[in-house]
Amino acid sequence: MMSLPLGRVGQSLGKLHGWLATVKQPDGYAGPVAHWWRNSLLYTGPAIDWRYEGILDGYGTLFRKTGDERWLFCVQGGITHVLRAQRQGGGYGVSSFERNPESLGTPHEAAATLGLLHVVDLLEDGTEVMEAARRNLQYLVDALWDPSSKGFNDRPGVLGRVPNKLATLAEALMMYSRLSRDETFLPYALSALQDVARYVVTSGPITGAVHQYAPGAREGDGRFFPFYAARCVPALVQGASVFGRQEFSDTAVGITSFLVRSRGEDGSWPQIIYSNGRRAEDPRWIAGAADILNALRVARYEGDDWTASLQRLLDSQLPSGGFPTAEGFRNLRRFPLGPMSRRAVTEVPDWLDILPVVGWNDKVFRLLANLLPEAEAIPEMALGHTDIPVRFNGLTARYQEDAETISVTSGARELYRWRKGSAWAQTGFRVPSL
Amino acid sequence: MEIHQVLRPSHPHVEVTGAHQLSWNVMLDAVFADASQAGVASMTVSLAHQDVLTWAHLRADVTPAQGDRRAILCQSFDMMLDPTYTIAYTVEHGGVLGGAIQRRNHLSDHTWVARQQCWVYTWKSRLMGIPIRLANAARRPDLVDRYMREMRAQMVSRKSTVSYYHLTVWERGVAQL
Repeated sequence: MMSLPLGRVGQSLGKLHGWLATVKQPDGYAGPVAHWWRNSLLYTGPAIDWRYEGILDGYGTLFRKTGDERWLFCVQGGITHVLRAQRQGGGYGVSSFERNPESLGTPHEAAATLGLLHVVDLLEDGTEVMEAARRNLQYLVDALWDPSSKGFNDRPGVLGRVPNKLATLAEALMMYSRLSRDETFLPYALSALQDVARYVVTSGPITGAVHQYAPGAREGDGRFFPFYAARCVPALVQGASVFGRQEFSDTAVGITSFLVRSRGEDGSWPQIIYSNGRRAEDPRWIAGAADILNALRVARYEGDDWTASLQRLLDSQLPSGGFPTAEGFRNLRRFPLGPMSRRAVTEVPDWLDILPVVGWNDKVFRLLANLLPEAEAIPEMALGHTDIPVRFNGLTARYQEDAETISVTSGARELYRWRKGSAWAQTGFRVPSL
Repeated sequence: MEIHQVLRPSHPHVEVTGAHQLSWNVMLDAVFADASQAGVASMTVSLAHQDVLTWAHLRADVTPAQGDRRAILCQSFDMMLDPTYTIAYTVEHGGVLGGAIQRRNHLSDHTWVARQQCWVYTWKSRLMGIPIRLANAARRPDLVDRYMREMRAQMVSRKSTVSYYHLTVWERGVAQL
């Protein structure tokens, strides 16, 4: 029987809500992005990407649980950001997370629409939101559906499948169909889910792992990210119910089993496991790991105790209220002397490890909102000041954050500064690491 | 930020995908981040590829005008002769020598002073294409990821080096204002 440390969830949510308020600009939640693929550290304006999945779902869940009007106010604010950003064609403009500012972000536009659909029932009149969701989903179908291969590409005209992104899109399509009672999108959702299931490993030591990408929509690429595997689970669980297909449910169970087996003793997950058995351990997500825990929660995986993982997450919260991105970005910088070997995490972290990113913190927010015990209050929390020694491109530096600013300095030199209200960070023309 | 776009397709055509797409995104981010702090209200963008113009436009859309300066982003120094521009961003490509000749011909009157510069898509970064292809051929996705990461890590240099692109920020000399 699990004994999750739920007593701290309310306080943690209070601080995280306070931090989210500090990164909210008039047109949306904003800030730099650190990611495995690449970083978006100069552009720090708003974006309508997967951050709105967790933010809207999280605030909606809090309102349902507590009836507190302040959470409904946050839901309405988030909806306004998404609707205002929507363009004539149905897309959301800046929507590509680590590639921002860029449009047609996958799975980001679908994830933001999913956020809308999670909270539309809280509105007195959800007509406008449902129409915005329909227009966005139609835009994605028009841009990405490939009639010749009968599936969704990741980029218009480039044949290929990305299972975790297909899962998010399928989830949004199914949810729209259920809420609107319009089944137009259901065949697309079924096709996407079938493609997800097609790229799940069905035998051997990594049974349940999911190929990251299938170039040419043929065989998978042999790269297995636990985080992205987890992102497939909620859609498969929903798909089993919508289409009455047991195989989707079995696939979801297989993936969660893989997630449990690939977890380390400290409750963290490696970044990638390769088909040849090699592993890229770093960076190990901290805030992003919330989506893995969310998958275990949604799948109701029996017999697993993820106390250590939740404890690791809760312990990591910064005094300024956000959750750090990862452990181990520093190890990626050791090429060619051994980037794949792990160094002790007690070493001074890279600044990207510490940097809290709204599109990772939304995942923590949604998880904690769902874990919050029914009677638990969420207190207003005073935010502190974060001041941590870090490494910045080989330099010894300090990461500092308060309600107005994130900065990295080395002695008297300022290496990076983001005033939280501004659309671009200041770096003295020092182009940050990609 | 207000933006005026000019498509100049006379430059050597380069497919703006892969590393070139990444390079242009890096440079445009650097340009608009700088412009936002330098007090630029409007920017004329004269580039050789429609996709790059579109990406510039997206950045202008999300960059509030902060002052009253006029700037130009271009790939040719002759565009900088207009005296109403007080800040210029130039992207040279085609090798180190070609850029130097252009500069000597167009900037000999010393009205512009280079404030910042960086070299993008460096030779070290381009060199990573070889191990990436070899690793792909050997079906070693773990090595592909390592070399891809190194390719990105070596993409930009603040020190002079052989590179595909060279971005410079120019300020009009104080005496000319």
